[in-house]
Amino acid sequence: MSKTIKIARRELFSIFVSPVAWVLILLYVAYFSYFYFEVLSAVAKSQIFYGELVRSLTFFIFTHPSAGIFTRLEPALILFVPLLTMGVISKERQNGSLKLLLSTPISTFQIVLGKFLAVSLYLLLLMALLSALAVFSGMIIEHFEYSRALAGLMGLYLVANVYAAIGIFISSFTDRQMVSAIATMAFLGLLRVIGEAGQTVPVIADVAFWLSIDGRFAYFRSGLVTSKDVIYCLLLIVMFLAFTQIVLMSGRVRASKLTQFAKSMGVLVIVATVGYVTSLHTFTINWDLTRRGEVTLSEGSKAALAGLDERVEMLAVVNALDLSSWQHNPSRRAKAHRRIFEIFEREIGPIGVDYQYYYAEPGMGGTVDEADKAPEERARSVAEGIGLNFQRFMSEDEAEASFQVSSENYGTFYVLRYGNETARLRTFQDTYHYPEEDQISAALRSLIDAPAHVAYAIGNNERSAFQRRPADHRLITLDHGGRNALINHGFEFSELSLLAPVPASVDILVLAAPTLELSEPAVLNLQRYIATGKNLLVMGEPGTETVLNRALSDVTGVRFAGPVAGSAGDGFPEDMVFPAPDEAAGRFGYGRSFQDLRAFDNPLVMSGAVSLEVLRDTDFTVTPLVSVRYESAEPDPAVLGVTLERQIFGRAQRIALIGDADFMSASTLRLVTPQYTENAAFTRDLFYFLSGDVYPVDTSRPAPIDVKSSLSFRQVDRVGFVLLGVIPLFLIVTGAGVLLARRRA
Amino acid sequence: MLGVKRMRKIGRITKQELRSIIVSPVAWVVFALYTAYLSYIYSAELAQLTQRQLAGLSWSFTHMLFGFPRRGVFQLLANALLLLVPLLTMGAISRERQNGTLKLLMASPATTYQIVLGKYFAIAVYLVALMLILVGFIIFSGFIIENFEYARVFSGVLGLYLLACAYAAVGVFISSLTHQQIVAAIATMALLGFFSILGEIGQRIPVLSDAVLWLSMNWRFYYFREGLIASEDVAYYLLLILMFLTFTYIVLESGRIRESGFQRLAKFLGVFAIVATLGWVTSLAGFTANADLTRRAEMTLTPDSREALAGLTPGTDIFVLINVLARRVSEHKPSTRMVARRRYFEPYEREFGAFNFKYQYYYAEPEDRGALDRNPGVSFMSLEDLARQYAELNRMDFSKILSPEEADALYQTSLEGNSTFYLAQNNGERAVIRVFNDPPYFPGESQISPALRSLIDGPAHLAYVTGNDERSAFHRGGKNHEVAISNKLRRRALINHGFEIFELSLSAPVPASVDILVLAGPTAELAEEAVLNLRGYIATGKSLLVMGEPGAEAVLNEALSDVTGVRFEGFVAGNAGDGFPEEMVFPKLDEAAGRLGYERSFRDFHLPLVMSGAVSLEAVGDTGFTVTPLVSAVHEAAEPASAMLGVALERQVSGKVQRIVLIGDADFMSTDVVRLAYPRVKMNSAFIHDVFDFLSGGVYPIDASRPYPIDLKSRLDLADIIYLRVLGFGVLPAVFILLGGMLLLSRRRA
Repeated sequence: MSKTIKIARRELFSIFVSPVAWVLILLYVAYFSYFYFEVLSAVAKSQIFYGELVRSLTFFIFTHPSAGIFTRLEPALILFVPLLTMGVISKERQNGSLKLLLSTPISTFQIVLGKFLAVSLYLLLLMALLSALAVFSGMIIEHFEYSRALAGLMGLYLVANVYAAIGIFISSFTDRQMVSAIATMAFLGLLRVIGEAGQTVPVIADVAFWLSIDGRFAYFRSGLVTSKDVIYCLLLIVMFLAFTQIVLMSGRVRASKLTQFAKSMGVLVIVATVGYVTSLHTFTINWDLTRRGEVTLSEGSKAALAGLDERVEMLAVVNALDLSSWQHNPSRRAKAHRRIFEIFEREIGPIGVDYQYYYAEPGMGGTVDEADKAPEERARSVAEGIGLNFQRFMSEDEAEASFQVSSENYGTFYVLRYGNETARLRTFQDTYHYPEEDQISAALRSLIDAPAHVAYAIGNNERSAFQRRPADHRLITLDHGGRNALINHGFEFSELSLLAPVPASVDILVLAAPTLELSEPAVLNLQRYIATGKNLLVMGEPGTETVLNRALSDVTGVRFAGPVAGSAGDGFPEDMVFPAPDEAAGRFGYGRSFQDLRAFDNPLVMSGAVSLEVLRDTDFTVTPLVSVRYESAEPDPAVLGVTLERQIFGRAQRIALIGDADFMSASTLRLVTPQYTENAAFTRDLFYFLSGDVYPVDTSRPAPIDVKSSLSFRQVDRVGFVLLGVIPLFLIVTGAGVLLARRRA
Repeated sequence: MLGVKRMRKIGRITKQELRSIIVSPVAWVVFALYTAYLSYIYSAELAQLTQRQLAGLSWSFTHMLFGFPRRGVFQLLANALLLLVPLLTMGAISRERQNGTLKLLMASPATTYQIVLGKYFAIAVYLVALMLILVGFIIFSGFIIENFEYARVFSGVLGLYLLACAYAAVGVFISSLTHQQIVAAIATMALLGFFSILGEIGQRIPVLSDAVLWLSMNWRFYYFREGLIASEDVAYYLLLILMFLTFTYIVLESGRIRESGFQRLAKFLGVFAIVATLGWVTSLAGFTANADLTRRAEMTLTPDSREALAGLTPGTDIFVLINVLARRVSEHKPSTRMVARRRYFEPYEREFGAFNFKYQYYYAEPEDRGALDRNPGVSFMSLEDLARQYAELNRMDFSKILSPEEADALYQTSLEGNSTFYLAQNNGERAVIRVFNDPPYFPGESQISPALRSLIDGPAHLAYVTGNDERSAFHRGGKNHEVAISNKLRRRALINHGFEIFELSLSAPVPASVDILVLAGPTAELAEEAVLNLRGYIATGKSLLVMGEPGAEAVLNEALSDVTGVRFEGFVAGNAGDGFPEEMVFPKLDEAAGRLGYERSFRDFHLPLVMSGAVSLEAVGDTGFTVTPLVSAVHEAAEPASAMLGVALERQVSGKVQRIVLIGDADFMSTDVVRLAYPRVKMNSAFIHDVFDFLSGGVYPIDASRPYPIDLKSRLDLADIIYLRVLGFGVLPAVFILLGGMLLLSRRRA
């Protein structure tokens, strides 16, 4: 051991007397200081203009996926580490001192390990400088999230060590330092893209994906430390050090090329086996180092999925001709799966994935350029191009028969299977494309709890959930392409006439502004439905008051009174109302929209609303939800939404009455002015209440608390002066001093 | 000029340096890496584009493969060269220092500048070899891509080469400062990286910002990449190269002659001053020449714009009124505003002479409060304090920021909702050019051209009639036309296309200033007086747009049908199909509309035109107008099979053409329909623009669109791209490494 340390010390000494080490430290410090200074200035600025941020500052400064300092440093390491390691062995070769070193009683193993330790220590010094930045941040930011920063630092250090091991290995081949540096950089570049190799051969694809370093750091950065990522880094270090030893040994003992190769392959096989075993689900240990549990499922999702105890199977049904089908190419699958579904797999065990391709002219987008080629021919080209068997592709008719792809707009979606239950999970036509935790949790939950069945009453000129008129609710209820649409959050929709009794399968009945009188049997069926204790949403509009009051007011004790005056102000339509939430509504729903309504100026938009009045007491508890208040004394505030609750048959019945049916309409949701509204959030909360707090799954997390920096803009300037002036100067002087002293000696 | 003898000397040094490059392994490794990287990015992008092509969506392959801002080959190579060039140049002079041969060389009869030039030329030749590999890929693309745009990529290659040469000049300079090659390489990379973020840093020191922006090399590359060769950009790179080579010369000379550090510094500064002056002179409008090498002339004004602005006299002033409290103010910082100016206004300056830009900052409460509102902290501070803070944070002089009152008095900023906007001024006329609440944010040619034209021809006065329960041009809300007509923040609203919008009542005669009168679906009976005034207006020969709605037929017929000879008939059944509202109609354009200049609509003809609750039109008598059908609803099953929903009327009145359009629907311009969720994409906006193009006599809006690209197809099968990858990523780099190795070995043996 002492010999190893001696080698390490000697190597460390030679690192510090070379100008390269000093230039690198200088650049490294200048690089991260510059970004740190920029981000601190930005934070100080926005604190002045916008008050406290809503984002975690630890995240913002260090681990933001594009602007964080760790994120910016990681790719720089590919350039940085090779310059550090290029000379480690090649220098000795060049000077001829390698033979000398090998002829000493120090074993090759000790030489390699010692040299690696020296580089590793140098890297540790770099990390220490970075930690100083974290500690400083801890002093100026309240509740700084040290653990998250630590995860990032750990990832950065491990990845840098992997690079170092590779650099040393390559340095052992050549006596030219520069060649060694460039070759290392090229090799590291290759290590990033190797995950895409061998896509069509499953075993090779698995090994290649495991070998790829692309994305590993991202997990550490996000605050997740998993045993498989740590072991991956350690194994790669061991492997490349072992390779180095084999190369150096060949200079010492006589070994044929064949034995050398056999040895190397042996090492590779052992490492790959250990790597494979340790990456298996059952052997993986995970640490979520974020304060708010950001890389673990939210408490709401966990509770929702607690009952899932068997394996969930997932079939991705991909339209080969869809514009986004490339996102499901074999070369992208493994990475995407880990990014999207692993957070679930950590809770509910592995999710099995299979792919079924089909081809059909996609429902959206596309130009006519390719109309001269039949869909089949184009799909065949795609299949050959991405290495899939076209025989397994389904034609449009087959796919329609098996999966009703027309109802999915000929897009790409997942079919989840759990025992006999199935559920659909959709992809979206936005930049992210994949489903997020909200949608996945809801789909998974619907496998155990069944979806919430919403029925829109029809027959009396109501707003529809299915039709495409501007006043209808399709956009927020069952538009498959919309992330916000309720159908992607655990609800399913149907239409029914009240002329027949409401089926028992209905969980929520919606009566959306009927303008025509309800017939006697319809009223009877409606009142019977209420008597069964199921939930109900009633929306009014000017002109529907009598219809609704006649049918409902003696049961609910609330009547729809007259239209209210608009409150939106100049330039807005006269009947537009911006109601505000009532205090009592805080306890309603999971509160996100109500938080937003308080914190921000985004209005909840209603148009042409009628007020609600409590007529008399019933066994319902009535809670006001939203009201419109006017600036002048006249007219008085008007209640525009109430909730009613009562206990019946041992369960809570929930009814919501809203004096407007436009807040869910397509035209309101696509308004230009005001452009940002709370309507989608309000709708979601409303249905959360009506589904008995089941859907949408509450995936919210507590707000971050490390949101305030105590530095003013001027103080940041002073920090910048130290970081970009004093410290670099100090490094230059020290470095120059060391180098000069050495030259004199 | 250089004598032949001197040239020969330089040539000799170049040859010698080239030889030493070729026998160095680094050069071959760089060559191999470059090839591998190039083929990796090329084949990855080609694969994705081919898959998109199979999905039925493709755009210009030439642009997507090579010129695309982030993933295109040119930009990625430019980034890679920042790392590769320093590896080539690191040894140029430092090696000689290290080996002690520099003194020998300096003592030779070759002069210092011959040495510097000779060495530099050798690297430039090597860089030509790198470009040749790229040219190989370009020629290959020419084979597989239909109608490949060679000219455009030539510009990119030239730009890339100049950029690489500029990098090399910096590298040679740094290499002259040290005897450690690796230090030279790292320092060059660091310096080049520093240059690329220089624009950002520069804004912190306003005095230097211009000089600093001048030094940052990357944004100049933008124009080459996009297909425009501008003399000022070429001159810029050449001057930069000259500057760094002269610096190198000064450094090497200092080993020869005796001079103080101060003298040397003076020399450096002197060279910088001369070069900067030359750079400034070459960027003056009078000295520039440009070549737009793109097929669709993407970097030049469209013929429509040029024609429309033919009468624009030189000396246009552009006041940029920047509200420091409005959205996206950072786009107008001193350090970045030059980029926007070159991008959006330079095409005009190339045609019509330089504009005088004046940047005027002000503060006031913006109507579109954007980010301000989202943050509770703001309410604690007065607007003035906020602006003061802004000035301090951006190191601006607060006294130069106008107060709300001053700004309003000088530029009527309150009329623009205190947003950021441009005010164009020429010959005493003023026109507003706005920014928008969409991602491009800046105005494009379609908005700038009409504003500039209105300086010459005046705007078109568009009056909406009120008083009979018509659709409004200003009121918000579903049925009104605010989004299509008067919403200043929306790019396609007519107010941003040369129209001035106002409302009037028909109880008084229509003022002579009105160019186009709009009667949008009145439901209340027009008073007798109103009918008289309307007919009086028609008699003057001005343009008119009338829109009907079910229930309003009688009102309109009574007022107009005996003048126009066209009657609004009954309700037309919807034909949009399953799931769409019953009354929704997707009318088809009539052939004859093409003759009237409905170009935009015909371009978008595969999208539906959406009307909702329409009434049909019928010609009932000849009143002297030529009647041309514009749009008709076709019903597959029902009777009648076809119903006319829009007609154009033309006649000669007092030597001028009078134009009238009658449409059987007032919803196609309504906010509800323009912003409809189903169908989301439609041609209503294009159709609206065409209707007003016709009504304004082809003056506004200006159609600044370009033809669709024609290089839309690759013939290479998706499955065959793998061979390209094997060749470029495997075989070629291996060959280069082997070649290099063999050369190296043979030299060692020799």
